[in-house]
Amino acid sequence: MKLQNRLTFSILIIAMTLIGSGCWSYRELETLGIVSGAGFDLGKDPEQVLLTVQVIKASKGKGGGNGSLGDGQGQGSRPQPVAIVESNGATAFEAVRNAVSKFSRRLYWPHNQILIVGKEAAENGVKNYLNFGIRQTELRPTAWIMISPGKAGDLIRAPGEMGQIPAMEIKDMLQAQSATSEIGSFTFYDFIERLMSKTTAPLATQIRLNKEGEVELAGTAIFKGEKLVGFIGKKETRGLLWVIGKIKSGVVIVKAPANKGKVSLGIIHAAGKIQAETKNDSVKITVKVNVQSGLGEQTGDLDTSKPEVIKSLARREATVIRNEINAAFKKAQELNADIFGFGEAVHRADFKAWKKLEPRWDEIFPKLKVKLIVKTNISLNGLINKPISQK
Amino acid sequence: MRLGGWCCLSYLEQGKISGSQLVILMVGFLLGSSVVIFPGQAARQDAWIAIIIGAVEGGIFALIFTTLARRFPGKTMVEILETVFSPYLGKLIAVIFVWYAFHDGSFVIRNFTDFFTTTVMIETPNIVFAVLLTIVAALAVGNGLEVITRCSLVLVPLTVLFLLVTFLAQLSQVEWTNFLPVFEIPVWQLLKISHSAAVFPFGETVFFLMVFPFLNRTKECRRKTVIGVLLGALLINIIAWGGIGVLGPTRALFTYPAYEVVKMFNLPFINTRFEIIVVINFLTMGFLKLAVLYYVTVLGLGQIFHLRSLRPLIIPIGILMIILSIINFSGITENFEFNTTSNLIYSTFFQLVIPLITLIVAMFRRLPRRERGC
Amino acid sequence: MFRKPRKRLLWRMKREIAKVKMEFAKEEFITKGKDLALNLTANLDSIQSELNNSSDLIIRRFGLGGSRQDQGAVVFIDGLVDKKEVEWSILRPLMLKEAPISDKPEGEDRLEYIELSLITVGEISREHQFNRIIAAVLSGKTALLIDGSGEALAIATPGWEKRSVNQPDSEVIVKGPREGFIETLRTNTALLRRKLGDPGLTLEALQVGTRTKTEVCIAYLKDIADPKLIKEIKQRINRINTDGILSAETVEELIEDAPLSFFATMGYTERPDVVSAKLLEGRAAIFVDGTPVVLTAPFLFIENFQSPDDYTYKTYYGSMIRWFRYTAFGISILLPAIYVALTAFHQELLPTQLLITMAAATEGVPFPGVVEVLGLGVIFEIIREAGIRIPRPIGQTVSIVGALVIGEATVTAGLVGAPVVIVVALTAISSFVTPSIVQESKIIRLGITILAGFLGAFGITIGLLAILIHLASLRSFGVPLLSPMAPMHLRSLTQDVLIRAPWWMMFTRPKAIADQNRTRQKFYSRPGPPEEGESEENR
Repeated sequence: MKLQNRLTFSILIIAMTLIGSGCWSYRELETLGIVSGAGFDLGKDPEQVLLTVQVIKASKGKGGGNGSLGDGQGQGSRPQPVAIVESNGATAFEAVRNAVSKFSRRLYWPHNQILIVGKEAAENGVKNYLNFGIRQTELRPTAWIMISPGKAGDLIRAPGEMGQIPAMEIKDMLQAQSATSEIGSFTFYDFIERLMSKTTAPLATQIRLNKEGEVELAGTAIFKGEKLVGFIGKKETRGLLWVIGKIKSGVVIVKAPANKGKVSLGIIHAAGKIQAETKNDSVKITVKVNVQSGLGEQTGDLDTSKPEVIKSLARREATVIRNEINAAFKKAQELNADIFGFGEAVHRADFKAWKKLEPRWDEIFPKLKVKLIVKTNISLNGLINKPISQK
Repeated sequence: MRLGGWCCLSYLEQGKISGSQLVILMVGFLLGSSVVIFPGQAARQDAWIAIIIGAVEGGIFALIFTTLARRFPGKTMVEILETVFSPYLGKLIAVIFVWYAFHDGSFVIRNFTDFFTTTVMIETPNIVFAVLLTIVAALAVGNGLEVITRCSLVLVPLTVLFLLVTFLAQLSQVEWTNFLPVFEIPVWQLLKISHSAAVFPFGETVFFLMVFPFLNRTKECRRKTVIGVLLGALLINIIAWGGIGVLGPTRALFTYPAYEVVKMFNLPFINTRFEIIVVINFLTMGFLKLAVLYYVTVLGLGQIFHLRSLRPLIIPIGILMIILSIINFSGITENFEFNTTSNLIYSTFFQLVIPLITLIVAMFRRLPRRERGC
Repeated sequence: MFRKPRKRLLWRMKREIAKVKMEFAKEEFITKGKDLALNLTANLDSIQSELNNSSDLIIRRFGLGGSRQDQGAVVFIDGLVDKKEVEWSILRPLMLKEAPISDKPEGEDRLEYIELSLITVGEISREHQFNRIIAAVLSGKTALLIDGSGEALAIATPGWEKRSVNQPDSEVIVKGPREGFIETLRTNTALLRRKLGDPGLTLEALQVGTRTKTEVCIAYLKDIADPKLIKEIKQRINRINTDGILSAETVEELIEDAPLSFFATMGYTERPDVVSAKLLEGRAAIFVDGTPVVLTAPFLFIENFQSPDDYTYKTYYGSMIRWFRYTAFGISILLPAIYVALTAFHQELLPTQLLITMAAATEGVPFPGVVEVLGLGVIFEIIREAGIRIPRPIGQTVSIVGALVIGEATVTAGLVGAPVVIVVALTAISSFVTPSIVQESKIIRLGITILAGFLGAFGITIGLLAILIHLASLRSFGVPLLSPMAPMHLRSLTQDVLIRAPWWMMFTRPKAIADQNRTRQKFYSRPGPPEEGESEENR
């Protein structure tokens, strides 16, 4: 019985495989430069890509005691918890690789929160940057994608308000937007999903530095294919979100009947639905928006305990919503960008007809008539059911 | 140490498994590579229909080859072939059949290493994964069918649990419109895609012809195989539903949609990503599938050459399998290409044609003649 | 590596022959030996020389029934017998004048008369072989020899020092009986007998150890335990051919199924209630004289996670605590590996905030994570071992030095990251939750941590798979170790694995063990007020 031999032999094999395998994928935590946000711009030479990366400085002292390194802002008062790295390259991939020569650590992407693309770069087409992100297994598909009207690098450099990691703050800010639903938040993945469809326009959040130099979210950037074609404001953005059913909560302000001040209606639940019908190459689109809301506040002394008052408020709310949607639709038709995904709705409804319609969609869309049905219902009154001023 | 079984023909395997154990082993076998590469991907949002049709087709294959198994209770495919055709011709066909198991095993290794080197550990050379997985499978094969089955009894319920948990976690992200339009693919093409799902993985249950004789009640094999195929189809469909519902059209973009789906969201409360679960599922199920194929190869060869022990075969076969897995394809694209084209005919030959011809010949020759014994 | 089958067969045959020869030799050893002589002095001399004039050998010659001639003698070992007993029950009745021994004819008749009428000790046997007399004396009996008789009496007068019945330190429980086995076989079997009044409780004695002559006792319930199991155990114990058996673990190592495996295939306990419970499930227990540890077989892997406390708690908490135990076992084998895999390979899985915290904590640590974990693990093992070995009073110092100085100082000095200390400590604590598998878990942990250091999650899973295959291939006396998980017995699973079912639902014994007599109680014997009627849910 050569059990010992067998045992030694197997241990030897396993040990050899392991040692032979080395530790290729082994990377210690402290060798990683954890990227929290990245920005792409066109370089000085428009053929080049300028990458600006925000790297988290993790150190024992709370808030990073080593002072700021490499960041252009560094206004002395508060040390930045991040380092900024800038690099150039012919492609996004090369720019990332080139960053190594300027930075002591390997850039580590999976924890990247936001991806900002500058306007010029976006107008040239974003596929280059996105392809890098999706083929590389490292980038999370859930990172938020944003477009800056100026340079993306400036936004990456901007310090955080709370002295925390700026990219995280932007991410939190974006997520907090669901309170008003005036800013659409789009992940990297959402963007690609829309890009995959030939007709639907990809969307991204618009982010900018306002006059005081603060970071601000300001509506939505609209793409046609991979190229940026324009921006829409907050009002239109909400119009868009109604239709694609991305409204989570928010406030609709309506004028009360008989000039009795204003009433704010809080959105409880909203659903948007696009229905398409085709008849001999003509497309009929119906958008149904269903909104449930509750009374949030009122400035006048409207008696809200009467059902008919509530009904008229609901009608007014529907008008406001309809206006918002129409504004968005108008803008979309102007840009000839199918931001709502009407094309895909046709595809779902009748894929045979769609085969013929798809190539001509650019001609059809600007002339498209849409039937808009907005149903609103005010179901909750809040804790009081009459204005305070009433006796 | 248990003596005994020296007189019996099937001395190479003394274990016995029960019908329900067979079902679980079969589910694990079917999940095998399908945990990450679910079949019928080419049908886009109709993939789940393709899987169902494929499962039905695979079920029909199963009806045919289980009829064969029931006709020759207590005999493995190799022995059946030797009985039905003359020993020489039978041996030749048996060698071809065993080759298929061997080849399929190398696919599993290949899919496995490809997956690991593209997703989790990019820098590590794929031979490391191949060698380690094969070592583990060899360990299981060396311990015999009973041990493989017992492993499946522990691993499959865990995997199913993981699958269900991920599926439930995905539900909130599913966009139902992603399933529309239904039947966009032309029927002929859909059937072709379904056929690719039938040969990979459902028809691969043909390898269980080498396992049926070790059932407690051999007659159960038909019912249990059908149940196994249906359960497997259900589970694979669960993965497919998640993939279609969450990813929608982008699914076509990804090499491993099932992995990508899980990357999309965080585990509630702990806020961590858990795509590693898919990796573990693939690892355990891939191990099961490889172990079964490996075992079938080794047992088949052992029976063809009337060996007294399987042990001498295990390590050489393993090494050859790894080598074949490397030289088979030059890259992952070739692998996928093969799966969607040549494999359709190649596998059908083994899964349908050989059992069917054997069955017909056996009927004509009125085999088996009345004989009793082990 | 590749044994040729024929060679293997040959080797097996050789082994069988050797076994038979060995058993034959053993038998010979017991039966050989000369008979006693008729002459008392000669016999005593032989005994003395056989025992090499040991100083603790006491030979007391005396005259029977007041006679002045020395016609008889008692032989015993000082310290092994109860001297009072010898005095009162043997010497006194024999030496007193009233005893009418002289009337009886010399020789065996006289001995028989003494045995039947004079000696007032319960256990007594007649021996005529020299070796057996000596063996009896050495095992604490008193030998009575009389002149002119070729036989002698071996009288049981045990009186050696023994520990009292206490709660075992190694298996402390919260509720339930507190008695534990001691080093004396007879006391132990008595403790068992008191738990199990069933006449089917069978105790079969065997002797092993050519020099220690340790008594080994197999206990089982006759109509529940599988006869094949008992036969197998007896065979294996009889196969033991070693000079000394000093502990139950020695017996275990000599008879277990997988001697090269690092998993135990036999259970052990120091508690009579546990042994009784296991016998009731159809297992057999092996008592070894001189050790408080009782072996039980067949052993299931799941028994590592069962504690007597589970059955004294209410069923809900009992089930919950069992899941905690499974979790703790998982932590104890996997946590360091997971830590290594997460920090060195799969950083993307960590929540961003946690990643930043961890990165900050390991900033500036000179060693890679694996080395830290393994090193600290080794240090922990050393501290633990030191704490056990050194005398109690100094033990405190060790824990202070270990915990405070090493733990705190290494972190402060920046040699080790704080998370590593937490991981190692948590692992250590978790491993104490399942004491019976602590050795195995240490080996597994070491192996898997190393694998994780090389290959991350892949390494961990490969390691676990290898262990699973190994476990699945193990059997304990014919019963698969992983039963009832694999092969799966749903009823056993739901009764005592996934949950600890209430007693009224435990109507069957584990299928893998007691297949021949599975009924424990009536199918559905849920207690309740009498008016509600009994079984609503009949089969």
